Amino acid sequence: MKKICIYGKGGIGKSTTVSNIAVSYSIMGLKVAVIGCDPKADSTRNIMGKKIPTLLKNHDNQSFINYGYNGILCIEAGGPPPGTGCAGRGIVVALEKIREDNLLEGIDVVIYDVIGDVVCGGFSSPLRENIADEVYIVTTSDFMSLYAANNICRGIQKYAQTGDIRLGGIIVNGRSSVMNIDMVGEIAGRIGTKIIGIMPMSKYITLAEMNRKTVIELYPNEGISQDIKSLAKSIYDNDDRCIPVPLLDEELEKICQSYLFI
Amino acid sequence: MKCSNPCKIFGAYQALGGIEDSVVIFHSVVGCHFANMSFHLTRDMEDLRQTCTVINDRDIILNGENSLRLAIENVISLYRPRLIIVITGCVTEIIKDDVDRIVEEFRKRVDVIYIDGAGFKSDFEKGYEDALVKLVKTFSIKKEKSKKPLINIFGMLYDDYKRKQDILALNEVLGDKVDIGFISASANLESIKRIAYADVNIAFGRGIEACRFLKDKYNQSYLQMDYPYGIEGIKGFLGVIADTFNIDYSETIKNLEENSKEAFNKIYSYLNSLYGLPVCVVGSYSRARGMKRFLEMELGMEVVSFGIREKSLNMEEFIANVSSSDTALVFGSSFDGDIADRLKVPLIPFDYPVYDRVSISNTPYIGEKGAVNLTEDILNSIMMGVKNRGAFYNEEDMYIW
Repeated sequence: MKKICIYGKGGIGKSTTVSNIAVSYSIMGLKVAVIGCDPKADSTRNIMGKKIPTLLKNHDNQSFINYGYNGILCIEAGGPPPGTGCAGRGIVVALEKIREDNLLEGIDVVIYDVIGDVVCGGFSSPLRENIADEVYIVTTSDFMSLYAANNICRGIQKYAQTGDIRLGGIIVNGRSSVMNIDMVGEIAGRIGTKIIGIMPMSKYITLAEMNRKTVIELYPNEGISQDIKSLAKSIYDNDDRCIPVPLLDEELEKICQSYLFI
Repeated sequence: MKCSNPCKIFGAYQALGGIEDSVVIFHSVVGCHFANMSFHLTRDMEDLRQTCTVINDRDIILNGENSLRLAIENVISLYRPRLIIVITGCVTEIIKDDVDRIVEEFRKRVDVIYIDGAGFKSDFEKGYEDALVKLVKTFSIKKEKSKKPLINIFGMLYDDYKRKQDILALNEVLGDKVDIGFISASANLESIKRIAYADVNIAFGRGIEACRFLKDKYNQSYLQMDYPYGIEGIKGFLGVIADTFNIDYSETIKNLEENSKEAFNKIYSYLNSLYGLPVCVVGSYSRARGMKRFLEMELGMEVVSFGIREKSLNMEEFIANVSSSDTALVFGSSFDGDIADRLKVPLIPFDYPVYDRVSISNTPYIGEKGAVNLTEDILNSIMMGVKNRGAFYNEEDMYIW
């Protein structure tokens, strides 16, 4: 089983990426699972066409186990209402439950969609205990998005010392105000990884999301769908994984400044 | 590692548990509730006024606010208390349940107070001080002059080994000349509201922050003193009261000296063997100091190891020092039983917590009666001790140390 984990700054397009590459794998004939690790519980919305009951509120029944487009297994960990409780602990408990109940048996690819940043121990749990093998970080070429990506690398580096988790690459979302692929490429190289693929900016992504669908399902013949399939294949075929070497904040700033002043 | 000072939640409970028309809700995991209750049971299992939200994993993740609401509702319907005291623990403070808001929801129906008892934030002493300050800030009302001399006593704990006996002894020695308005280990909501009516606040070590607040707000004078063990201890206490109110306690002092002399005469020969006896005293600030003074000044013992819990006592070092001494008795809490066991000498428990023995007879440790009771316990412990069983039966055994 290929175990992938998608991290990135909040609102950067992680769930869009996850749902679309999951659909790509299902079209390839693979058995796919998506585990949403976000209290908002909306990672699988585009695969299911709706929000589904969460594991944390329904752990005593099977209503949290759902199958969406093309038979993709969808589970949302869920979590507390905004401003209360401990969402990180929720992720830990949800992942334990999935493992204990052997819910991923027979799955070829599992994709974990993890909230925003590695803000606490709970949100780093997919990096530990062999839950995922490789991490892909979604970023635009905006500075704060790259800053978050670099910070996530610190978490990966920490857990890579004692486990098998590795960084697989950077997914560039072309949605930023100024797209600068060279800058992202240089930062990826300095961290020790590479750009694994690009999600170009496309109105079809927005249109599909407004219809609670993935772009591949709704617009299979558009170029964006081919780009996403290509990204999904690159990730699936990738065996070049590394322990990242995060940049100092000052180094990151200097690189970004150098590209902005060109 | 052995800690010298229990966590904040215990301090908060000891400060407020003695409010007799209240119920304490621990908004925490069940262990906080169990530990506090286990230290309380040997003191008074008839007086059980505590419960718990029993926070579990679901509460931690989704928040424990509904569990707290349910607990408060249950307490109102089952106990109908005048006051509900919500003491939070580490878990609910880490996830930061909005306890203030929930408590506010119930304020129209019952007085409710929220105390932060998270042990990761601070220790027993801070828990005690914070809880009392919040209590007096919340409920004390404008000062009115009391017709009769009135004092408040701070620093006594709900689960003190001799709580009820010591309170009774204090009242007896004060007689009808002075009343105690509020006493922190045994109070009610009404006495808290009238706390500012007293002329002076006396803190037996703890409670000093509440005294400072009352001084600032109501200009109430206060005094901090050691726990009044022994005849000299209670004479010091009465001296303060006499000076404050210009009352003559000389007759009372004369009587208590004669009473104790009469008791000690029956065992005067045994008392001789206590002179110079090396002992260890470990406890909270005012208790340990008061006990040390009593043992040294009144019984002639030599305190060779002395530890105060509040002063970040390194217990490993302290135990090593005690072990290398020729200590014949350990004065401390039940926690210090392992020191006594290691040395095979008796433990005389006097400091919180004492959970391995009961005390239901009227045998205070405070004042002149306390001097007699403590001496009795000391001698009996020595005679029953593993090392010196039968000591004092004949002359040669009396000086075995």
